Amino acid sequence: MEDLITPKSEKEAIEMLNRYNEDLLPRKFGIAGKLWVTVLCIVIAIGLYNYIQQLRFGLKVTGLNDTVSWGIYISNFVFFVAVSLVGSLITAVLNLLNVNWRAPLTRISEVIAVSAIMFAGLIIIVDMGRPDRILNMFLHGRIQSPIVWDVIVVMTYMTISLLLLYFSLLPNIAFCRDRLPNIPKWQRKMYSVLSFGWENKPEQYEIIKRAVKILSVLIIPVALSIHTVTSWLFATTYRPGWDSTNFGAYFVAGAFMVGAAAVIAGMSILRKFYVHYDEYLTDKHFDRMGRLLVLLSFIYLYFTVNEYFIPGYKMKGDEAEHLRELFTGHYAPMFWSVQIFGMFIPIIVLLFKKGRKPLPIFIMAVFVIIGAWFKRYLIVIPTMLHPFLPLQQIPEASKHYAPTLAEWSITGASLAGALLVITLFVRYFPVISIWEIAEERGIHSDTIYEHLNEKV
Amino acid sequence: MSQKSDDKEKLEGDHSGRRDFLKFGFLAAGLTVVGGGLQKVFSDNKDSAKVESGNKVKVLTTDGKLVEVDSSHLKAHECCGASPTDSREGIPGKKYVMVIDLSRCKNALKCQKACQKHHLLPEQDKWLKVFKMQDSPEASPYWMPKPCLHCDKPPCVKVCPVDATFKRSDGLVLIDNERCIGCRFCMAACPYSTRTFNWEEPQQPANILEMSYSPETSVPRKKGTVEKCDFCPDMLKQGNLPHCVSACPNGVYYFGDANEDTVCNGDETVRFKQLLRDKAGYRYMEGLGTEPSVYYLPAANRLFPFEDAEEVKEK
Amino acid sequence: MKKLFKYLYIKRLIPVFIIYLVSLFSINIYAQNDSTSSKLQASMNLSYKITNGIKSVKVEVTRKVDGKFIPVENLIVNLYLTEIKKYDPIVGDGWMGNLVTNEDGLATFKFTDNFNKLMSKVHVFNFIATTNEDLRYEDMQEEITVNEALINFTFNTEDAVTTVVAKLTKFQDGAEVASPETEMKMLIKRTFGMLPFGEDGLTTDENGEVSAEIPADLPGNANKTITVVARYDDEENNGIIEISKDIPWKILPKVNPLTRRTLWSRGNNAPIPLVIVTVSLIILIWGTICYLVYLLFKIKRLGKTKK
Repeated sequence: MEDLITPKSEKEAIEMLNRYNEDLLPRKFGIAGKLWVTVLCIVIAIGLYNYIQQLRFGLKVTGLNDTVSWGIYISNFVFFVAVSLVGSLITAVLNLLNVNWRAPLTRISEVIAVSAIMFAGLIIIVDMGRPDRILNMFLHGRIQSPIVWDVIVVMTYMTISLLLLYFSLLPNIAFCRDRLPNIPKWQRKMYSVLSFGWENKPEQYEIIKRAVKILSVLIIPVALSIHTVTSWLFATTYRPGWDSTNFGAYFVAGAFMVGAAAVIAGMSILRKFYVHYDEYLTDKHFDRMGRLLVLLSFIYLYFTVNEYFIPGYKMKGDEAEHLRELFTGHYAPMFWSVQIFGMFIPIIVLLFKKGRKPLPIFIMAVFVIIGAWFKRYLIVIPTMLHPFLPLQQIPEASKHYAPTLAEWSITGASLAGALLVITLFVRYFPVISIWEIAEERGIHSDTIYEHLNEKV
Repeated sequence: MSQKSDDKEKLEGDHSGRRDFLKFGFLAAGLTVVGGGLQKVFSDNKDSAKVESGNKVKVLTTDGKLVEVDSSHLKAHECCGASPTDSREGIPGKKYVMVIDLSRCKNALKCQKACQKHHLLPEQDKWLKVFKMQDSPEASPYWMPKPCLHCDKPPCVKVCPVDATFKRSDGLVLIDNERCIGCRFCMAACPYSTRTFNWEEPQQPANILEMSYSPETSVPRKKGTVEKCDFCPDMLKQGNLPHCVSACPNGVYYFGDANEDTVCNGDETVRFKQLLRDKAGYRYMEGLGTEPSVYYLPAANRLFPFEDAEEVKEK
Repeated sequence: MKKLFKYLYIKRLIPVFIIYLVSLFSINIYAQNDSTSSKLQASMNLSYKITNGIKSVKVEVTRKVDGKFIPVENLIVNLYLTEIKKYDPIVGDGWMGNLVTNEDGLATFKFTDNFNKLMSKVHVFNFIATTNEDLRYEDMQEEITVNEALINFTFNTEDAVTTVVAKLTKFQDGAEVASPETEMKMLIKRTFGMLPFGEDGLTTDENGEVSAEIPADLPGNANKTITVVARYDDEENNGIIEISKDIPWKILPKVNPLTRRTLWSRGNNAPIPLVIVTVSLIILIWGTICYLVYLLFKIKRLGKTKK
């Protein structure tokens, strides 16, 4: 960034390094943090209880039926997959473009990506009628099925995201191991195991840099394919609303947008609850991320127009019924709220410099995230309610879909679980990569290698 | 029971030692006996004539012996379902097709009742539905029975991740519910709303629960799995028509083997291609390219005027 | 020793069994006397059929409920030839046996070659079916008299056209006489029914013959034959006479092999391009991942070496 204070001497550099270390070390939660973790745990416990009920009584406990056989579990899955795309966006794309303000954002986005993809995998198991037979996926997998493709890419993406997170985290884990004072034994043991023999050697740094470079290239096609394949779960069917060649690009665009918003939200919260973080997550970062979000929103808007305007222009028989339901029918309030609050208002607000200040941009990011969740609801459910054949000779309950409390609580638990993973990460690991910040701010590598893990 | 015993005693007086009893006691639990409790020698020497359909079926007894029993003595789906592995092979040389003559359907729903009964389906799960269709506002509505269309390019089979639903050489699309993981992708992929899901533990008679599962009978039904119309392969194996076909009082359903170019609705037997040619047969939503095995004959020159019983009741 | 014990044991059981049977019998009579008035009415129908020389009598028992006929099952039916009497082993008439109706209300008596041998000179049969002592239904008796008819059946193939000729004869005063101007059916046996062929309303000529061409494009059986059935149906006088024959036939049923690799085939039959693309992508990406894991261990190894 323009206003970076480049250190003039090595002494100054070491001072700066020490300051970063002081500021960015993980520390114990205060009351707010503890309360937050408790709330998340309660939500997860309620969800777990309901999931056990679902295992016992079957998917009957949900609002699903033979007409709407995919509900909010699936839309939530799509949401998680979308959010997880952010890891590749910030790390890989900005890395390859050599953007010089990315260092404080990379780890936040990678953590969000890893937790989102983990819970995407979990929620899809929750949706299964026979989770006890999950091994059949591997014993009898059919390569012709998009679900098998999805399982492969989700597992691949999860592995790559974890590696990406882990490689750049290694020096920081070692740092925690060596320098965190007054920590319980288990915590030090954990750091010791996880640091994987890290000794702050230049050769080790070289390997990390090489690995991150490979991963940055590798993660882009995998990240794109994970979201494209998820869109194919819908686009490979004949149903009105899903039968779209635009779907892959549309999903990827939407995922970039919500991912960027998720990073902005994460940045805002960290900055709010940690002193000194505003030195690393500066207004400039929010401004840049705001601009990026506007750009991504415009791309998404472009695909949205393609997705709805063209079928709406033709109003093809079966498609027309579905579109009318969205534009003016039962789902119109949700549809237009999502478009207005989840896209148009954020675009307008973020176009202004004042709108990209930390507080408004945080609110806009939350709008985008909530909008994105409901957008995925609108992708899955209305289409299921409009099959080709009329809804006849089925019980009245199968003509509608309303998620039950159990379903909401399980879905809520998955969201809470993802947040808990991020929270715990923030609690135990430096969420801003210290050595990368130092490098970005012009401290010479040799100084970092030599002094980063020095005991105080 | 007492009548049979009486008779037995009387017979003993007449022709002791000449009877040929079929003993049912050894049959596996749950097998039901149909007809023929007692048999009698007709000729004057030792030859005995059993009154049987001639189809022999192998049945495993409770003590593990394999015995041959005439199929007429066993209810269809209680004997003729192959194991999940064997069910994947079709009946050799067959290619089953159905032709539904819409001009004969008056929504009597006998087909559906027979289907529900024989597949032990609860009220809310209907494998065979009769839709009230109207192709344009000016056209008259008509009834359209719709079983599983058993597509030759089945979209449901395409998407199955675990080979649980499969296409057989005889044209049938079946489901192995010991394989199904309940992802419901097939339900989303089917354009014809054919598939239903066991959202909870299905209620079933105890004797059905004891049977070993077969994709050909679709029983015992299993929680958390997908099911659908199976064209009654247990009946087909015995050379019988599916239950919906034989239950229809109006001959709406023709069923047969396309390889021998013949379909039969229980009363008349006609040539399959000729029927389609003569009555302008078509397939529902041909444009999707799924190539269903079920054909429709248009609802022209109808046997019955269209009448919606529910609407009449409302009036 | 063991055998002897078993034998004695069974012997001891026999009287018990007889007492049991007698008691059932008496209960039965008691029940009958008590409930004569409440017994249901059912009706019985007899039909006679000869299929490829095998004679059979079909009994159908139904009951009228709300204007519909529903089958009566588990009813014991006795069949007699000529008159109701004990079986006469010398003439071969009298009691033929009994059967229980099945769930469709049907019971079919089939006669064997021995019966045919014994009855070779007889061409008029009088069958009597009775039921008695049923707890639910009133006693029934029904009879049918049939005059035997025969179908002879030849075929010839010329210029790829196969013509089937069937000749119908009936017995009059013990002699076989051709039956002219009688409607007959020519059918082809199919999986679920009989497919008629030839002109509509085939009628025998003065020689008692009908002829019909088998449609040349009709697929036959898998064993290069086609099963042709000639049928004459006059239930009141002659019963149903059917004769079938497998005729050599060139057109095989077209069989569709399902072994192609398609998107809807089994997992092990996936299209080759799809397999190549997915497998190479997996190898490429997971290969790289393996390399990265190797790098990770390289970091660990470097950590162990002294500076």
